[in-house]
Amino acid sequence: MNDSGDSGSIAWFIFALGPGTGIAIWAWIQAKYRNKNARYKPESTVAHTITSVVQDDAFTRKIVSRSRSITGRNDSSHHDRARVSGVVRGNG
Amino acid sequence: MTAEEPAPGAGNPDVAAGTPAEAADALDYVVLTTPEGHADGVVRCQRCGATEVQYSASNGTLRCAFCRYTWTEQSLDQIMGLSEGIADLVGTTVSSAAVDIEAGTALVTIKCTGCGAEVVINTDQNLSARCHWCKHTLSINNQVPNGAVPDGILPVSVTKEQAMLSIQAFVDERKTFAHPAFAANFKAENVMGFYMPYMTVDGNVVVRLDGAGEILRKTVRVNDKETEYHADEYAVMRELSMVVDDLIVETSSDKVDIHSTTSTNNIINAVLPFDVKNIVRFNSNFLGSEYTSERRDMDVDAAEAYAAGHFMTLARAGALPTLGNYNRGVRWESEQVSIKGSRWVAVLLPVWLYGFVETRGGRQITHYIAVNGRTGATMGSVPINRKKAHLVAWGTAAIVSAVTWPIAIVLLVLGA
Repeated sequence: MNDSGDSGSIAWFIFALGPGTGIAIWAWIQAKYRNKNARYKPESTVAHTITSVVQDDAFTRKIVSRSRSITGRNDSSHHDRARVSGVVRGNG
Repeated sequence: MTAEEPAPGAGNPDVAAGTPAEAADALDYVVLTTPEGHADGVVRCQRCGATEVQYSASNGTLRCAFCRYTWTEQSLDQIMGLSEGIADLVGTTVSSAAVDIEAGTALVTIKCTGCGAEVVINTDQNLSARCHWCKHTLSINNQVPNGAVPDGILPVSVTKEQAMLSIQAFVDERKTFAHPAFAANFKAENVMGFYMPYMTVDGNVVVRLDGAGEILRKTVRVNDKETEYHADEYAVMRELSMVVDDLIVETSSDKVDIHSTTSTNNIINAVLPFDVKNIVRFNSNFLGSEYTSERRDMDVDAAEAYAAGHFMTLARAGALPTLGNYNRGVRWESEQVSIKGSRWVAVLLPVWLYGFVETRGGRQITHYIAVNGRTGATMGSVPINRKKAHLVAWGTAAIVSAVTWPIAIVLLVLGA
């Protein structure tokens, strides 16, 4: 059972190699020539000082998931704005 | 003062929603007066009084063509104290040239102090001209309320020859799949020296981030293919107080949208940053005849949403080291920036630009290759020969598949 499952997985991987190669070449050409993701990176180039950080984390519930990470993970996507974002002028 | 309004750039991922548009009228500004520059009209050599003043990019100095005296303008940062007091900023402070633009004033008349003639300059295109009577070089150095004259300028230091070499090298690395029309017409000498309008922004801000984070407690193998992840979910809040020095924001409405479908504006955005501490007081002789400049057409009100987006980006990066416990990651759901104080200064920054218009499916896209006029950083978008790229990508896919698919089929048959 396990052997047949493993050989099946390997077979599908080998099936995907051809189309995968094409997709990878196309993506490489796009990235190299068009640079669509190139942009100003203030987080690494602008002088800024974080003078204080307040943390407040509270347990909400236990969950069971089939996904390796939290749905909608964006903690490393600094340039993408959250679903709700706002600007307040003043101390509010 | 506190206000919250709907976003002006809804849907644009770079724009922070909810900018206080109505709150940003001129009455709320504190104006930081830029020290007076040269009077409008004739700008004379400081030593001999001649008006034939040229800028040398290789030396970074102004030079009198008559007596060869060289000099440079004062640092704007030093004379205006722009690096000081950021943590104490309260409200919105704008420099003299960053106040709201008055419409319909592109044509400016200046009186020649050499002969008294009146000369009209179209500030959309030029900030200097020659008197048609006495041939003195006239210029506008003091602010006119149309966004044409900034507080400061960062004189170009990358020469045209250096920019041409950078652009040529960039294109040489991308010849194989370049669009035939681009490859046939490309000439590095067509690069243009160009001063773009920006604002430098100092900020005293507080950013609050709210979301959910998960910590993995155990994994359970359900079957051969599936695993269950058991985790604790937390409501996560971070509030960061930050002092930001010299953020750079575009103030040309034509170029600020880096997600434009008709123009690769992200390329110009990507050659940021500049060494803005070296900005000097504006003098139109820095432009000379070789460089053109674009007039600012965005006020602080419009640019603030973009600055706020950058403040949030800084906060998101700053919060990351505090999230180490959340090994299944964090989903930020809400972010809010409170701008306690900000300071805005209008400047011109140098870019060498090469443009090519590609027409595809009845639609035009302008591709840029840009060189930062100070650092030499180069970025570009080269239009692709799509037929050739398709042929190579999918041809390779077909060849690889011709070899691998029979093996895969045999494996499947044997496995069954």
